Amino acid sequence: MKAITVTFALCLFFLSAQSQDTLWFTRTGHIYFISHTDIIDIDANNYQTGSILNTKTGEMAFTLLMKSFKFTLPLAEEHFNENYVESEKFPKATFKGRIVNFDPLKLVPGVDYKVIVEGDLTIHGITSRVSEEGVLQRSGNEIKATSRFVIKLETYKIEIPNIVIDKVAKEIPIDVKITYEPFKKPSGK
Amino acid sequence: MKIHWFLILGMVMAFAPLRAQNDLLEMLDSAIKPVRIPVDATFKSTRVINCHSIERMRAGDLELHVAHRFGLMNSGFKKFFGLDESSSHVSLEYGITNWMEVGLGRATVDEQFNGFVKFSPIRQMKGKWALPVSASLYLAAITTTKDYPDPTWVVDAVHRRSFVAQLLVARKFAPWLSIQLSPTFVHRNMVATPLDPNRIFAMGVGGRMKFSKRAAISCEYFWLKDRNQLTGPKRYNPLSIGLDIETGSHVFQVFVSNSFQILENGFIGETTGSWKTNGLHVGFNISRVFTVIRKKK
Repeated sequence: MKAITVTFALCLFFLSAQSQDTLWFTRTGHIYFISHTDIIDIDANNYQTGSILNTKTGEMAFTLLMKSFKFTLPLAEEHFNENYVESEKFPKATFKGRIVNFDPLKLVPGVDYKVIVEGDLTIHGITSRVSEEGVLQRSGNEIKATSRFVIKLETYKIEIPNIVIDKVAKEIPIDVKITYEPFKKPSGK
Repeated sequence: MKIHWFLILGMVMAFAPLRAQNDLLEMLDSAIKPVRIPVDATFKSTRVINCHSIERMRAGDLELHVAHRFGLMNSGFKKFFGLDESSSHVSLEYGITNWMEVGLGRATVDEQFNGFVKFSPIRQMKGKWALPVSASLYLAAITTTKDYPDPTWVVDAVHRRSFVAQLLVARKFAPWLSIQLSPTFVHRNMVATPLDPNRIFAMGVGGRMKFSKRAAISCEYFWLKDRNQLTGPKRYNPLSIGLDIETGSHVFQVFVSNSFQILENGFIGETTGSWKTNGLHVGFNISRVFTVIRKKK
């Protein structure tokens, strides 16, 4: 019986240790985008982006609510949700993928680790395979991740009516800034 | 004992791939608490048709609202089916905060000025313990600047005023369907005869049905409690049916209504056209929104 207890305890320790050491998490990631045209700049921030990073396998996931994007122009926010991304039909945008050739040993404190992330990006109910560059940096008890990439509205079937075609950019640069902290299992529940 | 060891080893081996398979996205979803999401764009415009909607200008936004009603459609070719005649109202409406809007306007009928404040403290949400409706309180004062028919009349300026109080309660049942109830009090300081009530109560119901991303059919009806107590020409309950079209920062509303006047004291108390005898008016509203103060980044 003793052996069972010991093994069981060891198993638990092993499992919990693994999840705490290799999983990094945030629910307050920052994503910014801007639609730049000669007529008008429309931009928005989302400070409630959830993300998780597995530093053992290099796997990554992101999720956010489209309605959490706060626009500089209030009316643009309404149109974004109502007419373009149809937030009531498709409330979330998600990404699921992994860092290509991930090497945990390169994640050294104070050093920029340039990575390429590959995976499935889902916006407006459309999933597209993407491959984008980013930077990871470990410092103390956190990991910072940044990336800047461009998406085409066409890819995600976000339609721009002719009447505003000059006011909305067809390609949208997106800035991602994430500060991961060690993942703790949500208590309770 | 050896059996136990194997058992445990087996359990661990069975467990391990399960953990590995555990999807990161699912893990994220369970780690992030669900939030309440506001339900926006219950109506495209700050008006259902004649009546104010629960929508308001957000902080820093200014709306230029132009409303126009043509004459009676049954007035025949002589008056070109009502197009010769018109009543209009122009107003500027500004969002001081996301829950308080103020407006100033001018109507051609009786040379009226109006000012209003609209409080919008309750917004419909989606999620746990979320409010099921949006509600606004609309308070307006209207004053006529028209000369009295007899210049020898000496009447206090206070008698030129009317007041409006409306509770607007709306729910967006689905992205395509919104319905609003609008209980309304109109108080007129001066009425035509001593028999006329100063205060009129009306119950409004209105809604819109979207049939494409940017277009909707709208409808609005007001039931007047003491319609028959009003002296003069027979009054009718205002009924309007129209089309909303949104193009970026403009909203156009085109409709047919049996009311000619645009302000609440007029379309609620002075609607003399009847749907049965084609006593109808074509009307339109144009709304243009300007962002005056941009939020800081």
